[in-house]
Formats: sequence, structure tokens, C-alpha cells
Amino acid sequence: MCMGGGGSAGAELEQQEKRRSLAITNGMANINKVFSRFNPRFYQGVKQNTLDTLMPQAARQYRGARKQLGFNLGGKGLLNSSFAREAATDLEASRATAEQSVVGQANESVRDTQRQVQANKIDVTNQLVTSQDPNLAAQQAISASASIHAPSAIAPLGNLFATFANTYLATSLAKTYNEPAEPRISFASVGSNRIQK
Amino acid sequence: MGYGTLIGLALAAAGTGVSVAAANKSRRAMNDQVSAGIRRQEAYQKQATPIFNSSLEESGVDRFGKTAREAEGQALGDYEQSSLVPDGTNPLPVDNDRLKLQVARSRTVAARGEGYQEGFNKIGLGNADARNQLAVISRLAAGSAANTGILTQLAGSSGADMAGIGSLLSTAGSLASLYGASRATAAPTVKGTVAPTIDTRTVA
Repeated sequence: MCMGGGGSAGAELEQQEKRRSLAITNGMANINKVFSRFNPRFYQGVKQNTLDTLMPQAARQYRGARKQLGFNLGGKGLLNSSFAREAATDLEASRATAEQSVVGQANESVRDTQRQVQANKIDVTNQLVTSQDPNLAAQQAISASASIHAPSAIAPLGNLFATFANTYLATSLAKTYNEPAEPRISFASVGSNRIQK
Repeated sequence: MGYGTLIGLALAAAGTGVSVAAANKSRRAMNDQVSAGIRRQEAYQKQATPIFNSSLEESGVDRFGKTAREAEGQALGDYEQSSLVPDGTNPLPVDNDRLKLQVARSRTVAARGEGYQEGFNKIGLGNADARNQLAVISRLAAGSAANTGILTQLAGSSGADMAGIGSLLSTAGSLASLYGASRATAAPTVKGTVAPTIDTRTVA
């Protein structure tokens, strides 16, 4: 090292710089070691946890919607109608959309967790740069990483079949098949007063 | 020339010499410190450059596209695996051809959305990580640069100490010259020669 002047004060300053650099390097190694547990396996766990929580909810909603559709169609004697075919097909398509929504939420929970991990790591790194204490950084990293886990409180699903229910159960089915409010008169047999539906 | 004058001149010359030497030494020491400081900054730059380049590459269109495609494929696989298995046989009639078409279309669109989101997510995380690493290096480099300034000043002040000695010698030389001039007539002969007589009145 080139001292070139400055004497002991200069030497002390250079030593300080070396110590600071070493402390931060060691501190970063400690932080990286602690945060290394947030690996793909961890995030796969987060995703699976969300799927395991939400998929049964979606399945329950699907079964409810299918049951309701079946009752409505059966009640009107339309179980084998083309309308029933269309409605049931749309219900299955809504089911696929619900599955996609749940998978999307599971992926989003992974991304949320990744961002949280990243933010905590940055916080701990900033604390290390300020404190220049690798041991303290390790403790802070452990504390910060311990606060991150798979989301314990996953928000319950909204109504994934709301659009389907609005289309077929509330409006369409009622409207289409309750429409003939006025009885239709058949002129097949003139003189007859029989009213046919 | 009187003996005192000679001593004075010698001292003054020595003072000037010391001052010049001090200035040279000081300049060399300061240059050394600046050079060392530059070398340290270059070392930090060498650490930072690959991180920056890697981050730049990770943020590029190619890498984004690759990540998005991978995430898209993953999402399509997830949709298949996460199928809500209905309990029992579906009692309702389903148009399977139409259903397949509808499901395939919605899955494609949703998977593409997942791909884009994951692509942006990866870029965001990568950039944040690079910023974090670069911030650490930057703080170390800034500390080192501040130290270089202090060390350079210290190197300069060490030369200034010598320059002070030179200055003192010069002053002593001036005083001795004055003394020698004022005492010119009383000056002893050197090697048998008689020192020229200087009219003290002409000396201020």
C-alpha cells in the first residue's frame, strides 16, 4: 500500500477503509446465506399453499352453481334442451376460468412474497451499510427472514361464478322460459277454447 | 562578501532547496495518494460493471421473452393440473367441442397474461437486486473516495512540514545576510583575502 505521507493518521484511515470493506463483504455474505432459504422450493410451497386453500373454495362454488342450474333446468323440464346444453357448456367454461383465476392468485401470492423478501433484504443491507457490523446484519437478516412465510391469511375467493349465475340463473333462464306470460292460443281446432301452453 | 553574508546566502539557498525538495516530495506523495485512490475506484468499478451488465441483460427483450414464454408454459401446465375434479358424473349435457374451444382460448389468453406478469416481475426483482448490490459498492467507493481526499491532504501537509523547515532556513538565511552585511567591515579574512568593504549606509 502506498502511504506516501500522512503518517499514522493516514495508515489508520486506510486500515479503517479495509475494515469497513471487509465488514460489509462479510455482512453481505451473512445476509445472502440467511436469505438463501427463499429458493424455488420455498416459492413452490407458497404457491401450493394458496392452491390448496383456494381450489376447494372454487370447487365448492362450482358444485353449487351446477346444482342450482340442474334444479332450475329440471324444474322447468329443460334438462335435455338445447338451452341446457348451452348453459352447461358455459358453466364448464366458467369452471375453467375459475381455475385460471385461482392459479393466477397462487402465482400472485408467489410474486408478493418475492417482493417482500426483496424489500426485507434491501432493508437489512441498508442497515449493514450503516452499522458496518456483519454479526448484527446476520441477526437482522434472520429476524427479517423469519417474518416472511407463506401467506397465512389467504383472502377467501369472491364469487367466481357470478357472471354465469347472472347470465343463466337470474336473468336468462327466467326471462327466456317465463316469457310467455300471455297464454298462446292454438287455432288448430277452431271453436275449441282450450288454451295451450 | 562578509562571512555572515555567505552563511546567510548558504542558509537561504538551503532553505530554498529544502522548500523545493519539500514541494516535490509533497507533490509526489499527493500524486501517489490520488493514484492509489483511482486504483481503488477502478477496483470498485470492476466489481460493479458485471452486476450492471447482467442487470441490463436481464432487463432485455430477449430475456423478458424467454421468462414470459416459460411462465406461460408453466401456467398452462398449472391449469391442466389444477382442474376442479367434479364429484360424480356431470348430469348436465355439455357441448364438448365448443367447451374445448372456449377453454383452450381462455387458457391461452390467461397464460399469456401470466407470462407477461412474470416477465415484468423477474425484471423488477432483478433490477432491485442489482440496485441493492450497486448501492453497497457505491457506498464503499464513496467512502474510499472521501478517504483519498483526506489522505491526499495529509500527504500535502507532510510536505508542508518540510516546506516549513525550508522557510525557516530561508528566513534564517535572510537574517544572517543582513547581519553579515551590517558587520561587513568586521568580517574576518578568508584564506588571506580581505573582504571587500561595503558601505553600510547603502545597506538598508
